[in-house]
Amino acid sequence: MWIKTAVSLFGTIFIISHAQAAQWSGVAGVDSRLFTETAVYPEQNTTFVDPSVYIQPEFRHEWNLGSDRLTVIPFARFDSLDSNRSHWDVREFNWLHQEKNWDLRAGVSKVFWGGTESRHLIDIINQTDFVENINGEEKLGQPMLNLNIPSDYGNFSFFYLPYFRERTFPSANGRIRFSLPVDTDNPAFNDVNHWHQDWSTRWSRTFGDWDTGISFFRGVGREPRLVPYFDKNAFPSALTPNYDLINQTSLDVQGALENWLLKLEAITREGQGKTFVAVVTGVEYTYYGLFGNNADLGLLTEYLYDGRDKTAPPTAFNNDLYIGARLTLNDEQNSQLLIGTTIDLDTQATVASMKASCRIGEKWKIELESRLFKNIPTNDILSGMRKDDYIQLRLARYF
Amino acid sequence: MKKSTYLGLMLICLTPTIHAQTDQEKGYAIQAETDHRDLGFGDSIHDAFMTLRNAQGEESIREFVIKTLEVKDDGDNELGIFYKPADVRGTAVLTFSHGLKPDDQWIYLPELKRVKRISSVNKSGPFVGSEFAFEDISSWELAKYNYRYLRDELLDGNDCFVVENIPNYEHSGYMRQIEWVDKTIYQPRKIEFYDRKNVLLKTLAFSDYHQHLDHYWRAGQLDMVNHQTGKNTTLLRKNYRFRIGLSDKDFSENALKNVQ
Repeated sequence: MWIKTAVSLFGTIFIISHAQAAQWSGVAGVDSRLFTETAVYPEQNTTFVDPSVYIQPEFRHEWNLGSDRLTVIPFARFDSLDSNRSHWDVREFNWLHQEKNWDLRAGVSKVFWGGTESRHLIDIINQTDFVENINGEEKLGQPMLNLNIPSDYGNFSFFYLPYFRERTFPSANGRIRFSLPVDTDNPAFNDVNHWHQDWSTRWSRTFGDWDTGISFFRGVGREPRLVPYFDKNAFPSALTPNYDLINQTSLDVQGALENWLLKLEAITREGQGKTFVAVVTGVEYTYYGLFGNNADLGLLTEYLYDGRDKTAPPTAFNNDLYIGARLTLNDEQNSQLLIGTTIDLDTQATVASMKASCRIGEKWKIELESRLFKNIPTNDILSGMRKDDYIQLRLARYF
Repeated sequence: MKKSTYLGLMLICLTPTIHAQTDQEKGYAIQAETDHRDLGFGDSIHDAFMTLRNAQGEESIREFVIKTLEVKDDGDNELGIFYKPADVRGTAVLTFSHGLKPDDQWIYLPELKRVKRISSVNKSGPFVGSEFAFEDISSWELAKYNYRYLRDELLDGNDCFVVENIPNYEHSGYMRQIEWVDKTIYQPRKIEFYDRKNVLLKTLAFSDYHQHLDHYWRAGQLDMVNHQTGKNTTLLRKNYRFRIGLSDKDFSENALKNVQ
């Protein structure tokens, strides 16, 4: 009997050694953020330069001729000024099993939905890693069981999300924070907890030039309400993140017609104040082959509406216009530039952002990012950031 | 009139038209044969290694895998997955070619896990900074060009038809191409690309041909030289595998998200 076991064990080892070898890759980088002004609040750091380092190794192993795959992606950042920004996370730790007509992902993973540039409205599966970037593109790993079924009627995705992740926020002495620090140590949960069992489904399909998707989500809303906390004083000392049970339905459409990309993201959400609708819709027009026939220039404009009431989580996008431009040089260095401005049509509060990147050699990348806050009224959700204009230089090494 | 005399007259009248095949018809017939000989390969996977060189001789490397699915009565489906350079590792491009109708194309960006549409207008743009334009690497379909036979010519010892291909699809960066089609294997040996001003822009040389499944010829090496910039790109295609059982599920949005 033991011989049989030994033979099968040997066989297993033999098969594994013939499968694709384990692969290591990843990225490590140094960011230096340079603030142009002193912060609004006295408890915030007074230094203008905020250096920080991050690392994200990636491990993948495939077996059964690629039908099974293990992915492990931890992430860690050390920030010189903000203790909340110094953090680590498991971005991914999942097993993917692929069959001809379905695939299943079990473990911590990341999912992105949507197509607009100025706001990622319908993207709800993963919690936002807000200390990384306020643009909503950095996400925390989400534990999930995810079944995907591609069919002639489109892709069907089912998500079971057994554990809720809280949003990260800067500490009291950090920059780019709200007018009061968010007390992340004492969140409030209304009829839910971390172990609330969230569900989500998504259907997406391409009809010729049009890509569409409809999604449902029932679970703990990823956006917390920020409730002022009164510590025996007349004035609040902090904001308490309040998490609620929500139902959200979303629609996304993207059309590609000649040089035009037409984009729409819309949601309706119940559970946070009155049921509301929010929309981001716009166009991107691209000129191909500028400057010596290689560069592309895309012009973007998007309109943002959000009908939530004051009891819902705060948003800066109630009635806003976004205008942007994307320049892609299509050169060997993959040089790219995206500049954009979001203007509040009611208050003229303006957030401008810029991101430029370029590869150096085969393994390095240099990235310049900037965000400017202009005309921010003192009662605006972004008022705490009104003196946090910054330029960030990132040097990243891929391995 | 006797029936036989009538037939004879008919034949005399018809014969010249049968034999005086126009250069357009002959060009089309040659490329139709090229197309016909490549039918039925089913699906394939190969590894691709690109070396980009600028005028100063500095090199830059691209590594990717291409999966291809033959689609009946339409252009092929193609999925390209990048491994190098390291910063674009896991990026994938999915293309549904459609002859004359604009292709459908999506790119998957692994950093954000985001799938983005690429406008089909972007034909003449460079592919990953190389001297290959998107239209050079997208699957060749018979309907995409009008053809004209020019002459027979011996090219490096290979007996070739020389055919002019004029793009039929919109947004091409070329006014015309001159292609040397090998008479034996019915595959290109060389293509010259003329820009919209009819000036010679690039030359693509095909070499290291291998036959797969005792039938389908694939070039192992493609050398593209840009005469206007002095840059060149070498594309090596290795490890061809055919009929591995790929289906349209392997070319879905889901497949794009699962590449890495």
